[in-house]
Amino acid sequence: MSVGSVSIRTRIADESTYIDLRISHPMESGTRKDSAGVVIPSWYLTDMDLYHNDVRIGALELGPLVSRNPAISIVLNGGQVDDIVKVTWVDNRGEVGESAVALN
Amino acid sequence: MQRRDWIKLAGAGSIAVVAPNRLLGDTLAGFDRALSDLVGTANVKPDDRIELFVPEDAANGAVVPVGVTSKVPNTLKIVLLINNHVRSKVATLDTSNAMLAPRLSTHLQLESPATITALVHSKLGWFSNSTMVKTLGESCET
Repeated sequence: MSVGSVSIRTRIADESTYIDLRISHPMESGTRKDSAGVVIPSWYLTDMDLYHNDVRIGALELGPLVSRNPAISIVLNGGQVDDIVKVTWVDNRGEVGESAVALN
Repeated sequence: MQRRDWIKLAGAGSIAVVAPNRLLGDTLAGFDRALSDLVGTANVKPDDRIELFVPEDAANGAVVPVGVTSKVPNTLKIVLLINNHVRSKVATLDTSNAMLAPRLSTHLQLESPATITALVHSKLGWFSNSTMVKTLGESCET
């Protein structure tokens, strides 16, 4: 996976939709040092927006202490097969990305 | 519970577990600042309706699983904080849209044992629950 690519897995059960996100990102906290002792600059996801059928339903702010290649699980109340779930993200360098899937 | 009492409680945990070379003042200030930015002068009430799933002993400090579910009615926001880091706020989930359930799971990278706190904002005010990760099998690289 390239940096910023998003894997979205979904499962509908019990009138809920379980969504597992996996974003490829280094999530550098800005406190680690390289082998030369130089601090590695921070580089981490800061914001994600969640959409259901093009309606923004939530937002997630992240800090630098989330693990590398973040795995994030959320739950929707409801959801039907073929509904579209979309995730957009931005990091502290201003890079952006998005991914969408149809529920199955 | 007043905010200052709550900070004192969280701070007591951090004093016991923070590595000696950490700047306690900075890390507590980070926690205090994050809390102050979030709740202002409002009271934060401990509440067991906030379920926090964190292993007491984490096998790998680079990927410590954490999950939170709020059963506080009308939960608008869930915030995860840790006590011993300058940038204490880990994640904030806006659940004000009824389509999004008040649940969140992710993984944290922790350099040392820590107290993890889930703050919940509802129409009734601010609520919290905390738990400790006491040992880390393998710390993340520093």
